[in-house]
Amino acid sequence: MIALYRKELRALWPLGLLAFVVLSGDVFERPFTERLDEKAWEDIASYVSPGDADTFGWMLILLAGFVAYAAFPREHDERTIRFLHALPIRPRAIFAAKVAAGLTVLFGACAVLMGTDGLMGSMGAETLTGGHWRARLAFTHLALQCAFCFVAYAHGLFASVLRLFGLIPYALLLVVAHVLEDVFAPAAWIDPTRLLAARYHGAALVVPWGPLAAHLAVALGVLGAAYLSWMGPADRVGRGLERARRTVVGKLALGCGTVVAVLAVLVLLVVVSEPSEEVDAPEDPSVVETPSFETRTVRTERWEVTYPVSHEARARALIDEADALHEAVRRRLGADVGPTLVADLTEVSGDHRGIASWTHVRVGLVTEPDLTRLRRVLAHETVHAFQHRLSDRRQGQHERATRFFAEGSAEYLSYEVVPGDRARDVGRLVAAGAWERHGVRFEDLVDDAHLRARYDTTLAYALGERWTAALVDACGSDAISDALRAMGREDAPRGLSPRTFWEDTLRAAGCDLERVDAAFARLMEAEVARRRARIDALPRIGGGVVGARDGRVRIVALLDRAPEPGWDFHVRLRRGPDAEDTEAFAVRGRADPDDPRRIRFEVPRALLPAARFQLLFGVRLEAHAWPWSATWQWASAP
Amino acid sequence: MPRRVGALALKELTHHGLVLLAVGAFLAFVWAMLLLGAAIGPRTITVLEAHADFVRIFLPLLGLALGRRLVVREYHGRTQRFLEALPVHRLEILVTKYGIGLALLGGVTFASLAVVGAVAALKEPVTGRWLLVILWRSEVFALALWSFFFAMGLLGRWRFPLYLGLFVLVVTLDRSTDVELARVGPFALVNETLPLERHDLPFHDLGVTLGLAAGLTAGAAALALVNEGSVAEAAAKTMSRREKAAVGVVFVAALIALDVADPRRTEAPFALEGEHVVRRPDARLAVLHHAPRHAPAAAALADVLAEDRRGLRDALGFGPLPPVHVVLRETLEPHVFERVALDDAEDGVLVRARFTDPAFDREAFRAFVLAEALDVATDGRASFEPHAWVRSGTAGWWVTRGGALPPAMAAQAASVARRRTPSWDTLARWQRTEERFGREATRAWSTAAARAAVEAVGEERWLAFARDVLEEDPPVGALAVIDARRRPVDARFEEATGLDVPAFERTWRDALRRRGIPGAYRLPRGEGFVRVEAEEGDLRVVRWGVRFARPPDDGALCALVHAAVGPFDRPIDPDETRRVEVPCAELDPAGERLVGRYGPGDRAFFAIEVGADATGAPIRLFSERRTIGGPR
Repeated sequence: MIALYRKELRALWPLGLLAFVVLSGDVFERPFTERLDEKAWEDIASYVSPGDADTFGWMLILLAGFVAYAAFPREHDERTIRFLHALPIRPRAIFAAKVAAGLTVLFGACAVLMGTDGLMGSMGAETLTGGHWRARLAFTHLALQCAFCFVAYAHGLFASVLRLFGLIPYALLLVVAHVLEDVFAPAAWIDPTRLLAARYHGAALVVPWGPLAAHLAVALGVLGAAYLSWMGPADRVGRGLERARRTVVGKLALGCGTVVAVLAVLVLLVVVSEPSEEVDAPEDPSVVETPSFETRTVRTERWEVTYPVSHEARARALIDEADALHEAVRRRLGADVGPTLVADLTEVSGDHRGIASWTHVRVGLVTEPDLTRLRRVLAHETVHAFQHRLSDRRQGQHERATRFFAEGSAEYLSYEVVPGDRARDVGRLVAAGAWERHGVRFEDLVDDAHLRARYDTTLAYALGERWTAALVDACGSDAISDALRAMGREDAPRGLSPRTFWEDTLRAAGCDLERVDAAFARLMEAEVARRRARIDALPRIGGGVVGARDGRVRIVALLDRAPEPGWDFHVRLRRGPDAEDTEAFAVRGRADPDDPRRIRFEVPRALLPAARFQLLFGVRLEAHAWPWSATWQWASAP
Repeated sequence: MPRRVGALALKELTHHGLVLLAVGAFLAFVWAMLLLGAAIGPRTITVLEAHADFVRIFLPLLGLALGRRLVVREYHGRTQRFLEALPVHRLEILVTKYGIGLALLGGVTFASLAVVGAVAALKEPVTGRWLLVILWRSEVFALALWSFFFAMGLLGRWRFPLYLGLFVLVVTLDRSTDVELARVGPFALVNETLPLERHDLPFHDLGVTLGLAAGLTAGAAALALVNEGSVAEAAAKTMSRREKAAVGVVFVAALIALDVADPRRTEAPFALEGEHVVRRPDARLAVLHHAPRHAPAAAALADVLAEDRRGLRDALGFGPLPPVHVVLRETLEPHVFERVALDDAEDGVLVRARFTDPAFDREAFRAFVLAEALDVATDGRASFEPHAWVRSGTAGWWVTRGGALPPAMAAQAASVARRRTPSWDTLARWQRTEERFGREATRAWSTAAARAAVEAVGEERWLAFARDVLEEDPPVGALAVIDARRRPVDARFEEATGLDVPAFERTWRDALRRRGIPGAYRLPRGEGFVRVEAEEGDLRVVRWGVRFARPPDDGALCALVHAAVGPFDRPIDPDETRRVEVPCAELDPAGERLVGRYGPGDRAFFAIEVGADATGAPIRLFSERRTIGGPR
């Protein structure tokens, strides 16, 4: 077997070279293009930096896939596997030799990567950024990478049984994992690249033991299945199937079996397409009447609206004003009428009140009994539809730079179209509080990744609304539509950083970012001065995990003042700054009867997104208004 | 011919039927999962997104696998020779395989839309026209996809390098040109509008895609038919692993070369626009203010900055310094200056300050602007830690030469001198000194050091030293690293000034002692402290405060500056810090409380600062990085 292992290793050396070049190729570039004495280890070995490691993970998956696909398919296709079977070696020894050789190549490439990165990273000559390489940390990362390679290799070996068709089930698994992440955040660990997401307790790497054990166990099972497929009974079953296909009866049996399988899946499909009341639970179940499954579609001059028959009166009231809202938004943006918009009022979501893309909007009619707020939501989503068209969809393509403007201008215009002083006032209070208390500035707002890393992402609405007001103030009433059109111009440069994107956009719109930014700063200072007393009255909220009991993690928030009646406290949890909004979930808290300044939350341990996770305390000062939030902070599972 | 093609098709279906049936069954499962995902996805707009996902993700995979199954395997196994031995034309074999693949991909696409559309119609106003628009786009995309994989299949061993080459091409197009792939031909057909566009067919994109498909099909036919099919047969030989690896290495090398060459689109240079801009074109300087009443202050600032830049540029022998854009920001504190990061492609420095305020520290700002310009002019090398004090010191000395150190700057330097003996080490370990004493104090500290050196050795020698350290075109890569190790800054200093480090330290100390510390008697004295205390369970409270030996100015603010820091130490950007301010007179003697901001496993930076009239900027009394202890 050792001889066979050596032979396999020799056969794999070209792939080993490829793996080395892919992972460590920068060792030929960096010393000649970068001044390594200015670099820290984590600048070079980006996988040790805290955060997700999707790109690196995918590189390893591709490499492991290449190595795995090199093991058996060709031996079988060219029938050279018969030569191996002719040797006085057991099939499992052949399999083991191939697996060992493949893993040796992958582990070796990871070890070389760690070595080259360590070498380059140890050249840093600055007192703070230098000397970051630590043997224990490096070897822990290496061990994780090797485990990850094993997992990817095992799945690759199994997929290779079906040759390229084997990629299809795995593509489906990825899609399913992505959907699961959105609807049930704790399931994010199913994505194996999460194993490489570096999280730290102090300066020590947190090893995700639970997910690691689960992935390794599955990988071992899959490796066993691959063995059975390539070397064991499944191989014989395959040959048996080939023989069966040669007879009429066999063909009939296989064909009927397949048809039955297809029918079974279609039945499943129909079953799962039935609406479920548990999905997308709204924030306040008291206002939700169960919508009927039966819907009706109504056409107006500008809309094609579908609504649940059970909420006809509410829908009709909204539909009666839909064209007027469309026209009001259109006039303010100076846009042409455009195509008919589709409005789906059957939306029931705990994530949002409305959503829009291109010519479609969805509005939560069922969860919102107040007609004024419904009109405002429809106006807000209508603005989004116009934004997509005026910017020729580029506003959505630059979402990182434009989210605050997309939401802020929609908020600004929806309040213009459907006034509501009280709700707008609370939004401005939250914006002014964030400006004053958290020091949120345009630099935070303009880069959505930066904003979501530290702050409540709903600040994009409240602060974006104020920035839009500053834009209008500095550049005129047409500035919103001018900016959108500037984004959509044919010759707009691409690949700009968020700030430069806005410099370019506003220059093309005949304005200047610094002018707008200065106006924004003045406006916010004025808002702060106007609301000084109310900002001072906003609670300072700090807290953290205090322990666990009965399978529930206990979290406590401490306030600097007693809460006022009607304040509704919540804590949001997510796995880290890279998590999407849909991956975060909120838990309501209640005041401690003995100490009202102490708000207690209980989260089922099974819902914790990871061993190290982030939490954000917040309070809704008024129902239906933006919450006032602290900033994201890290916590450890007890 | 139809009969022969039919017979061939039957043979293909018999040969691959089981696999295709199995794939079909599995695709039903795929649709079920995609529909489920669309139904429960929190951001789903329409259920038809399930079809779009299928077309974007699964159709290419299916095309890839079919191409291998129908074309590659046949040629690789040389079994096409059996077909060619039959009384059928080679074109008929080709048409059969192409037709079967196209029918399968097209059929699957149709089935996908039929299934998804039927489910969508249960709840959405799905119209025939809407489905037709989607169907056209999807089917034409499937046609192009199959034409592509069919042609690639006939390329045999060259498929692999071509796939990689196409990948490099796509990356290059995306990074280096203004081509938006999502708006071109086949990509445009399946972009985000695929499930949403209900009325208009994208005729242009359909035309481009059909043209592309025709070209690919013609290319495939040429490959298969030319010279009696010998080209396709020759290409069909499997590529060895060695050849594959060589291709892979070339591919990675190409990507690295692309990265090094960085052929990005060049953007318009940054510029301040509008009527309220004072420009000094010869000095590449612009100052933006916001109202006519600010124009005199802006003009005065522009004049003095332009003079500084011209003078230092000539003294250091630099070419034109990078452009500087100064913006009035009335909401900043008078002693705070902001540098805004510009893109790499944008040449210059953008800074903000409140230069209209009576308390504005103009000398400190002038030094700040010069230092930032030197940073850009030296490609960032002037900010390398051993060089940083030379950059800051030279800028500070230049704007204060010929006079005494301005009082605020002197007081800032004094606040450092009170706790550190002037030494080379405090300059060379710039990052640590800056973190300990704050930016303004460290800048003043380096200015005092540079002034002491100039006093000892004269301007010319200092400038010779500065020119040596602050190179306009510093070496790149390993050359710079070797140069910095071979000739460290202290050796350069001794070489250029003729003053060894101990002598310089003595001179500096003497200079400070001789002049005394202006305003020192007004500086607050005290010790800051930060403690982390346990609260309920794992909850932690940061307790902070100051024990004053000399009380601060009336109304002075005491502040805790704090920030979460990662597992690796780096200089902390002031924007990343948070500040809790309390009037010093109202400080709780037992310490103020910061509750629950940091918990077990966090690393945090803490600093205690006290405001002082004499220094403008607050004085930092204390700083540390700490890991919050607790259970793991």
